[in-house]
Amino acid sequence: MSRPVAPVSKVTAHSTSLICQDIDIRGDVTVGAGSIIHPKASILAVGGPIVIGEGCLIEETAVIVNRWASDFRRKEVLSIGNRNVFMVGCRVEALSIGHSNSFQPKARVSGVHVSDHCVFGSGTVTLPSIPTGEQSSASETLPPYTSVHGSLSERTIWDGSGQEMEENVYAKHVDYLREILPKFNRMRVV
Amino acid sequence: MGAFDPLVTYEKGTYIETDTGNKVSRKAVITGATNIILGGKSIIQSGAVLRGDLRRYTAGQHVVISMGRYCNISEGVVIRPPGKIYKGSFTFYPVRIGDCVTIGQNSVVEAAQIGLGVEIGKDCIIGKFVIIKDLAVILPETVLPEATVVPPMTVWGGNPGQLLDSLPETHQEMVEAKCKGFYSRFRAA
Repeated sequence: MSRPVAPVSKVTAHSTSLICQDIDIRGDVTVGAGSIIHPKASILAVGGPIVIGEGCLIEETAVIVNRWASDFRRKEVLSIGNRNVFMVGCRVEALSIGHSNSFQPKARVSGVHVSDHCVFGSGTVTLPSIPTGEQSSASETLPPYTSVHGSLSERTIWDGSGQEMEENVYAKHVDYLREILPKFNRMRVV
Repeated sequence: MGAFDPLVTYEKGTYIETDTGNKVSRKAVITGATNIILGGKSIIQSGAVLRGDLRRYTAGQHVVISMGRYCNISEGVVIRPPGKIYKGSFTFYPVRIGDCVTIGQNSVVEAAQIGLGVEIGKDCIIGKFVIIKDLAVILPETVLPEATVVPPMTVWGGNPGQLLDSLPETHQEMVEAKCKGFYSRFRAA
């Protein structure tokens, strides 16, 4: 069996995004305004393009893959909304991602549409709960404010308490990183 | 620990040996090296990520990661300082790691403090601002949530991490012998 050759890397980054040099970026990737990518992150647009929105944060050893096109024989765009956090070592192969989601360390998300304000806890695994078969053309969408947690990766709906505080912390975190990252890391010229 | 344990060897030149006996893989990612202190005779294996660049807000020299002696940081471990808002501005806080600390493969450590002789298994996630006191054992694949305090001489496991057991007083000697043994067995081929 011959594997298809890796696509040519084509990165389109907004002038205010911060991308470290020591990352693995493959395929057609668009990075929006104010997004930050730490060293050792991987963004693999092997199945189709990946579009990352504004103000996203991708930490080290996080992996974002768009690989679903190889299964369905079409080039789908993995669009990622604004202000999403991909923490250390998470692996995201979602079909689409909305706004303000948080993927905590080593969370794994695969084959679902993620809406807005979802939290995927540390070490959890999220897979579509509808068994994938021939009629599974409609893939599962996680409702807004879904929180996945615990050893059994249970899903609950978050009531949104403390959301404003989280958002403020995140905004300041990003501001601080914008200041400190370029001092110690080699950045890609965008 | 025993006298007949096999050597753990690496190819010559793939590790940098410092004057104080630290062995640091060339494939480890160490950012902001000026902010990291290694106590000596510590091993940092390939693929480990140490984020010394995420430092405190105020100007001047700051230690971000300080590590004691005979530590063993396995492959793929990420050590990064935790951050929070203090007095209205976001700042990172230093990570203090004691002597004889072993961290297993692919663990993510965002702890504030790790005491001496702590053993962390593989694939663990140690949340932000966790304090692990001396001689604790964290079993493999444990998830410790933010700001957990692990008391000394206890065993923790599960997701979320829970106290499972306590350890005998002889544990300290065992850990020391194990760490020193591993350091002496870890050498170039």
